[in-house]
This record gives sequence, C-alpha cells and structure tokens, in this order.
Amino acid sequence: MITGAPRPRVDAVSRPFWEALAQGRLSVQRCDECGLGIWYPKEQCPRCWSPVPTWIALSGYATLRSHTTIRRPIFPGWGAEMLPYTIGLVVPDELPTVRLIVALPEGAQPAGTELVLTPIPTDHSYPLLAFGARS
Amino acid sequence: MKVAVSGVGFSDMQQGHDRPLLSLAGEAIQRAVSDAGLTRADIDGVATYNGVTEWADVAKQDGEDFVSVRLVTETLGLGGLTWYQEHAWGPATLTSIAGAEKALLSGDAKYIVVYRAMSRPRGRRLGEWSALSAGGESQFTAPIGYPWVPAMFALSFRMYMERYGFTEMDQARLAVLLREQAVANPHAAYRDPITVEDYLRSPYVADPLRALDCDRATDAAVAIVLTTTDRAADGPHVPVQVVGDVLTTAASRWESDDPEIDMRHMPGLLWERVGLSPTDVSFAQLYDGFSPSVFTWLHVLGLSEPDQTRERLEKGDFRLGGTLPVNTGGGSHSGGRLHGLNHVAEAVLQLSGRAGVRQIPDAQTGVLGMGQVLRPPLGGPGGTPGAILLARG
Repeated sequence: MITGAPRPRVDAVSRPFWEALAQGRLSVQRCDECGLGIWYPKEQCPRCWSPVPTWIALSGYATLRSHTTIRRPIFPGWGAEMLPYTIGLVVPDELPTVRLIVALPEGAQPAGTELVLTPIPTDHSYPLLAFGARS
Repeated sequence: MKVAVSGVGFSDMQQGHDRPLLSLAGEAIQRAVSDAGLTRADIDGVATYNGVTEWADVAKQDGEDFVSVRLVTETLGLGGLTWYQEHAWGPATLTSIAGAEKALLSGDAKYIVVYRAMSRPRGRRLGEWSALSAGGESQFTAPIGYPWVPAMFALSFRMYMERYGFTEMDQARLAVLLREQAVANPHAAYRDPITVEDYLRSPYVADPLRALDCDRATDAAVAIVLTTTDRAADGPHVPVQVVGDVLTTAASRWESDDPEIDMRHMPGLLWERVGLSPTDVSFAQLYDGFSPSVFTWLHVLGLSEPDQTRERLEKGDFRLGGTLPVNTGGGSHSGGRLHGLNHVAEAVLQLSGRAGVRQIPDAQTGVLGMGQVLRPPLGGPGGTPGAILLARG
C-alpha cells in the first residue's frame, strides 16, 4: 500500500487509462490512421493529427530502459518507511513509442530487464503504475 | 550590424536570506548598467527567464523566489520601456539574449538589460511537492514520485552514460574540475576545492547523479547590458560581440529509438550559422546544472567526442591553461545556480580581457552551450538546447 503521494486528477481524456489500471490492465492509445503508439493520453495523434485515438489493451509485458533510486522524500507525506524508492522508464513490448514512467518496487535492475505490470494499491481509487519481475 | 555585451554586473553572493532577492537583482542590474557606462535613463529594454518551478508545485513569491520584469521596472524606475520579455521555457537567459538581439537590430530598443535572479527557497526545498492531487501531465508522474528535476534527468543521464561509456570516475573528474575553476573566481558561490574521494563520498540524490553533480542554489543575481556594436564601441570596456546564436527543440519522440538522449537536433546548426568551426574557439562555457551535461555539450557541439572527452579530462585539457578551457569560472555547478547567465558573464569577462587571474591569454572567441541537450522521458525542462558564439570586439 502506497500512502501520502498525490492522487491523479483523472480527466475525460485520461479516464480509460486509470480505469483499466484499477482493474489490473495496461491500456494506452494507438492511432487508427498511422498506427503510432501514444503516451500520455491525447485527443489527437501527435504525428498525423487524426482525432481521438483508439484505446487498446496491452499485455503488460515491458522492457526496462533506465532507472533511478530516490533517497529523500519529495512529498511531505512520505515517511522514512517509503524510502528509498526506485522509478524506471519502461517500454511496452507491443508499442516502443510508449515510454512509461513507472514505480519499480523491486528496486534497481539493469537496462534490458523484462518486466510485467504489477499495480500496487494506494490510499485512493487508483493503483500505482508499477512493474515487477516476470514470473 | 551586430549586437554586443557592453556591461556585466554581479550581486553579492548572499549566504543567509536577510536581503530579499529583489535587492540582489537591483544590485546586479545597477552594477551592469554602470559597468556599461550608462545610467537608468538609457535603459529601454529588460528581459529575464523565470522558469523551472512549474515542474514542481511550489508557491513562488515575486521578489523572494524570483524577480519579475514588473518588479524590476518598479524598483529601479525603468518606466517607458519599448521592449521587454519574460519567458519560462528554453535555454534560460540565452532565449532572453536571442530576443534582445532581434529587438536591438530592429531598433525596438537601444540598451537592454538581461538578468537572472535566483534564491534558495525559503522554508522548503526546491521541487518539494505539496499538493494532494496532480492533474494534466503530472497525473502520470506525481503519484510515482518522479516529478523532481534530478529524478527526471537521472533516467536520461543513465541512458546517455551507458551508451557512451561514461563512468562515475569521469563524473568525479568533471566535478573536481568545475570546482577547481571556481576557486579563482571571486563571483563564484562554492570555492572550496574538492577531490575525487570527496565526490565518491557525496550522496546520491537520484543515481547516477550525486549531490556533487548538481549545481547548488544560492541567493544571487547577475545582469548584462546588450546594445548594438556601434553604441557599444563608446563604452568603457572592450565590447563582446554576439557572433551568432541558435535555439532548437528536440525532435518528436517517435522519431527516435531513445528520444531521451537523441541529440540530432543540434549538431552543426550553430557552426553553419556563424561560418566557423569548433576549432576556432578559445574556450567553452557549457551549462552544468547537472555536471554530466558538460559531456553532452562537448559531444553535441563537436568540441570533443565521448572517448576524447574521457582522455582529455584525465590529461587536464579542460583546465585553465589546457587546450580547451571549459567553464572557466566554475560554471553554475560551483559558481551558483543562475541558470547559465553566470556562464555568459564569465565569457564576457574573458573576451573583454577582464577575467583577472583566470584570464585566458588572447581569448578571441568563446562558445556557450546553454540549457539541457537531453530531456526527461516525460515532462520537465530539457530538450531545448541553445548555443551562442561570442567574440572580442
């Protein structure tokens, strides 16, 4: 359980992502016209400007590109028990142009490590976007 | 016709918080105007950069955390301006200088002050997040604890350093060099020498970035005066000409396998524009808010490829007296966080022959790389590099 971090202010464009995540699934947009994987959610494809890209469900499998470990709280509500924490840049297997910033609860791992979506419950409605080892 | 820097002014470096930042900005501007041989009534343009803190939701108090053009005009009696600019994105005050250049050449203004004033935040740390919720872009990053500038850039620096073979020993040598350059600079904030061992003992803030990779906040301001070269010729000092400058933004993210470290948008542009090459410069002043930025700037400006950079760092080529002196006043890393206007001021002092014990003999041309070449995977500043070439006379 993660406590003390800001909760997302979910909006009309981002809601499908957060509702999918709340059910343990990774969902992002892909442009119907040019096929571009899009992150974060938008109302137009940034490449071909086609309107309202379609949401697609991904497998949740992703590869780690980079990581860093933070040893001090940037939120006053994060106690010492939350530190340190590791965040990573992961790329979903299906859509390499989607570059997700995620929590890595298992800590630092080398670039190239294969991961899978493992959402973590929080003290609000939406879980934390987290990835862990593939079992 | 070109434009030139005709005056430079530094505020005192304040260690405590007693004097408001506004006073330091006023002090730097008055000194710059006086250095240019001018008075209040000559100034008809003012520009500054007040960016960065929108990436973290911190309260910003004008006159204490930053100083707006509005407050400067009220405080220093600069009424009747015919040009001004205040912006929040890009390579900091290089954008102000590029804007001022166009205003001077078009005749919109005759004498323009460009300043940057920064303070250590009072009662909190820069970047601390206080809101209970996060909207817009930050809804995808704040819940994870990402929206803190060192964390954002750490992800990209790790990728860059892994790809090009930079190690923590290279980072250590660079930090030692930047501090060494500051020791001889009376305008620098942090002047106690450090060793490689000090660096390796320095705590990680967001690995691979340690505390000694980061510039440090200070309460200070710096200002310069720009005018056309014909007017600058009447000033008390050797003017320093803006030979050329370039502002760019990163390519769209889908155009690259690793858009965080894609630097294709920069190479060649400056040199094409000014008709010179990297071998024509006497020194380089490269933005070092995070010191590994210096590696990216040497690389992208064609001054030194990564393999050469490692070798030249060890050999001392980037020191004063070396073949390519870099950040001769300690940069922002050791000079104090002023977002690169201290780099510009140092370049002006070098090229007008006023750098004292740091003077590079016969310094004729200097290149500045400002802003971050790399960009974070999401949000944050970065990916907005700019470069400027300055020359004596």
